[in-house]
Amino acid sequence: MTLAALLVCVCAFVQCGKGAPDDASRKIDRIAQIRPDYCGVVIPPNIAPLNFFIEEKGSEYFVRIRSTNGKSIELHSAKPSIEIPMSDWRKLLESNRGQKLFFYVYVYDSENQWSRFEPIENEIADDEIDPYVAYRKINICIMWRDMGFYQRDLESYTETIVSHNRSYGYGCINCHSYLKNDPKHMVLQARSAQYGTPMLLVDNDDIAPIQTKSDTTSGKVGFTAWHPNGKIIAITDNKFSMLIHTQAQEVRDVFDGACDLDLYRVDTHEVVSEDKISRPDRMETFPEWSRDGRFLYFCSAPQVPQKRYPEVQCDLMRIGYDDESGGWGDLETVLLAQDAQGSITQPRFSPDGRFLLFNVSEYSDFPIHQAQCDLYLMAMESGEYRKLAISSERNDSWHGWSSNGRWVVLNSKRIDGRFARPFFSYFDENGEAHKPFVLPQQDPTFYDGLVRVYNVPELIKAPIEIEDREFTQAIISNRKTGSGSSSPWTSGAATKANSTSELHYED
Amino acid sequence: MPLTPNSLEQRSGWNFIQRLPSLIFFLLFFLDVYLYIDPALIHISHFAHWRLPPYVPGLNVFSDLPAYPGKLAVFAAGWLLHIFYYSWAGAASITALAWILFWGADKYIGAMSDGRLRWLRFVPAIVLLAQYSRYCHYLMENISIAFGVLLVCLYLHASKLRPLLRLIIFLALSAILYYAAVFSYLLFVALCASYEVFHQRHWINGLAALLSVLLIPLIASMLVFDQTLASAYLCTLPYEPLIIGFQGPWLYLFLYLFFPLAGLFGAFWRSYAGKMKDSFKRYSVNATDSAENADPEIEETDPEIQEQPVASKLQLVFAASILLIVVLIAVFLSTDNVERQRRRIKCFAQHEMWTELLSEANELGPQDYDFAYCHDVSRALYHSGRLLDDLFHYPQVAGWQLYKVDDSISLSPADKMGRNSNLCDSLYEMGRVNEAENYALDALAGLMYHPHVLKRLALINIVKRQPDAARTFLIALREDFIFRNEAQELLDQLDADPDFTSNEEIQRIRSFMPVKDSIEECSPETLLRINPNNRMAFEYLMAYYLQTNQVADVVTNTARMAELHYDAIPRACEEAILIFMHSTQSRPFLNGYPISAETQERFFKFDRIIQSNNKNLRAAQGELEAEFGDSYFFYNLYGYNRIQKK
Repeated sequence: MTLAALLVCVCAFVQCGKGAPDDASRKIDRIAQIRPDYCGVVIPPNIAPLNFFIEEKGSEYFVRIRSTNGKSIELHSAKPSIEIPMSDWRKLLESNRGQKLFFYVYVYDSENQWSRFEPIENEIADDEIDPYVAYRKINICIMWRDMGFYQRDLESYTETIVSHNRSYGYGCINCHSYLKNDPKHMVLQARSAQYGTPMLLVDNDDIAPIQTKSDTTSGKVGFTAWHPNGKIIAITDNKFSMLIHTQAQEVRDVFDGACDLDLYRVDTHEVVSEDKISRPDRMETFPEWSRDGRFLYFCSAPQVPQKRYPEVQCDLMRIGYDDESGGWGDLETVLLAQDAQGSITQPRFSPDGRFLLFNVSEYSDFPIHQAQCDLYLMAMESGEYRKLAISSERNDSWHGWSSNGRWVVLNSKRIDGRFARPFFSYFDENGEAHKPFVLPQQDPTFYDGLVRVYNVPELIKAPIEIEDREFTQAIISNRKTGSGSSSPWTSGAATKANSTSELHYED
Repeated sequence: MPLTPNSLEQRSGWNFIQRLPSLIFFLLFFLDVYLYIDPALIHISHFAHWRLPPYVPGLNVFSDLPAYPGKLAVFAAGWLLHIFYYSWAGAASITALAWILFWGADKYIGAMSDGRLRWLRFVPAIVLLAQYSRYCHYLMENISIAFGVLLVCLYLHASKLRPLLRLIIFLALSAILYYAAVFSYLLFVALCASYEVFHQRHWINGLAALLSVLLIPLIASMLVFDQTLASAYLCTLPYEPLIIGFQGPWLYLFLYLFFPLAGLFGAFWRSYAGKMKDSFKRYSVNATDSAENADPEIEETDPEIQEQPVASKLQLVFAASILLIVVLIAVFLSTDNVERQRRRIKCFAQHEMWTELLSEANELGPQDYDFAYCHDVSRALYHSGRLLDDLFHYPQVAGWQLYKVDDSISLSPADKMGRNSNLCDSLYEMGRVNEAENYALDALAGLMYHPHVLKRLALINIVKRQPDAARTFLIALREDFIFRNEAQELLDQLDADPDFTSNEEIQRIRSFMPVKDSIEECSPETLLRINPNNRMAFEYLMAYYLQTNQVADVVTNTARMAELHYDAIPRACEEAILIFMHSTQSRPFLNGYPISAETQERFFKFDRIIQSNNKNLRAAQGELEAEFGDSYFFYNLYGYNRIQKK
């Protein structure tokens, strides 16, 4: 008892010795080093707390989070990991939309005194971000044992499994796309040695496997884009193979041996080909519909032999389309790779159709494997384009928009150059993208040793409600039925080689 | 008979004596597992088990992976296997598992036979020992059985409750077992149903227990797990025969079936003994160690046993001797020395203990070799400076090239992962850093986690001057409690010197790396053009030429030896040069290197044997193999070599 009492006294004394920091603390003329980098960012008012790790040596830490309205959040911590209470954070953000948000960091240092750093200044946007982001989390590989498709509630830290490959023989689920960020209308691709390669189509609460194989196509859909009317999906039929670089920073690269565009009609299950977008001398990929649905944008590069892979320079093209008659217009070049000084890929329209966000990399129609890949923005009204300042020196790709057009999600390797993580950037009314911040995690050191990558993050307006068992059933039923939903092909003139590769490359 | 303090003391002493065989058994069990089987040898290759996810630091098995039947046993086994890294911890774990099976068997068989036949309780532990002596990998299944048996024992405790209550308890335990350790679900049902029918004589409960097999998977499939109805039932089978990497399951199946069969046997024995009660009363109770019986009723009802210490002691000694003999026979029959040696080779390779590796490899026969062992032995020979001297002291298999993948060789996914992990080591040392990275990434993805591969990836990124990526790999490695210090040391070095400029090994490998990017495979010839001092590239290239009988290329490349500071031409190369000279009748340029008199003498002797057999190679084969089986002369002529055991 005496010992315990003594211990309590000593603890109390030590605590009193440090006390609470105040303005009289020693002032350091810089902001504290924290990670993840939550400094100078604009955050949504509905984002989960931005827990962070203070990279300053000390025996105790104190953080005050303050904005214009409401009570500040004050946190004492013996460890440099700062975990912000959820309810206080929500209240603070909710009552300070459009206001500045300050992190005041104090460290009790080796000289037994509190040091006060310059406040870290962030901003709370008025516009909310879609509450969920869906992504794959995978190893960097082409054959995997553990591959999951997850969704994360951005307002908390809750991550749930949408589908996991353990349930269908360690296959793969890849590129997913949504009609206007709505998970009720979603399409994604499955690859399984046992169950084939169906395209999974979610229509409200139903999910169905769609078999797209025909005499002229491999039946392995790659990238997809929903027409705004929700009745047509532009799909690609790629023939990927992998290249290994002997000296480059990025070891792996993907070469597309053949790629054409087709249309899938949701109501009739027809797949329609068109010569203009499935030329044998060109590879056409990354489809994207203009917001009025009158044009199909895509990337196009000359089809070259594998050895000439650096010549894969994608131009940005478009072709008119009349969804009433199904008639096609003329092909137009929107932006040449030569002018953009790199290969143009992954075009994505803002929801209002005013801006087109795309990637430019040294070469390739598969930018995720490029050591550097930048984000570019084109104002559709003027046709002017520019590299966004938020681009890092590393790879930023797989970007997408929120449903309100105020937020951009991107997969960036900016932290360590190797592992892609989802970042969010505020996109203001003037077309300026603000410094991105990484998806917050409860443990601020979460990403430090995570050797899995995030892949194809997409913002969605609501959680995906199709259960994992339904995904599994849909994939498995593909083998049972042999064909999934029927899809009589209306074949165009383009000749397509069947892909024999079972490999999937999307880290 | 009243128990006096004195008799109590005697009894407790007698109890201890009766427990001695069990104690000695488990002590010997532990020592055998620890000292001979060596769980670290199981740890070394457990990552390649496709169906058993390894312990993955930082992975939240509950939220990161979907729920599926038996998940807890799977991950418990993964975690337990990880601590096999420490042999003592592995031995303790296996011994504990054996004891649980022993204890469970004792309780169940005791209950079914009313205390008779309890000597059978040693059988599961002996089978477990046999499994590990063969390095059979059934940990997850064994854990499931142990858990199932524990739940059966729990169920036995409810024997005095009303039948309906017992049934409810049974269903609750079934559900728990289905979720936690599904592989023993059917076993649990069978044991409980047998107990109800043959011991409790309650046919309705027995039938209900059997019928529940239809119910529990159905409910689980509908409400809990992401699985089809068929797989909900199939996963209850004792093992998955189609799963890749599962070795012959007989020892496991024997263990699995032992419990129900022993229980039934016990029940029939009890019935039989009941009929013969009068005549066999004094002898039907197991004499070996009845005092060890946890059921005090038996002890109280048979006090005579306490009165016959001499007879019991004799029986005890006899039973203990029988037990020892059975164990020795089981261990002798099940021991797989070849597998042990292969694992030791792998272990030595990972710890870069080259001398020990070569000594162990010397004991293996050619039939026991595969790509991985050829690779490890070649690497050990290179690091010992003996590759081109002693290459043909070890089996060579054409096609198993030392520095690249031969896709014509069909491998299981697990073996492919192992091969990738091997290749990344040698490619890294040779300077083919990107290719090493590619294999390492594949291995990491396929194996889910492998500390050695993580460390290799960190080093690769350090060599490539990508410290941020290297840091990520090292922090991932630091999460592993076993490799924490090693990772932290490298992290500290990385912080102090991100380029590792003072690290000679890193600098040396950097100097070997290709300077120009290409998507073509970087051959040793290319590496030698980049850096003529790349000795490993040179030796692997020469080894490849020797393996593939390209003697002209061996001769051509001998000229490079001066640049690499060879004192003399290695023996196997000398032999190849002599073959070349003999076959072309020429004197090639050897950059001033002589062919040793000893090698020349051996060549003449080799040739004399052929001449003495009238150039009949078949006739000369036996004699040549006996004397020159480990020479390149012999390999070149006959396409194989004989290992000269030292």
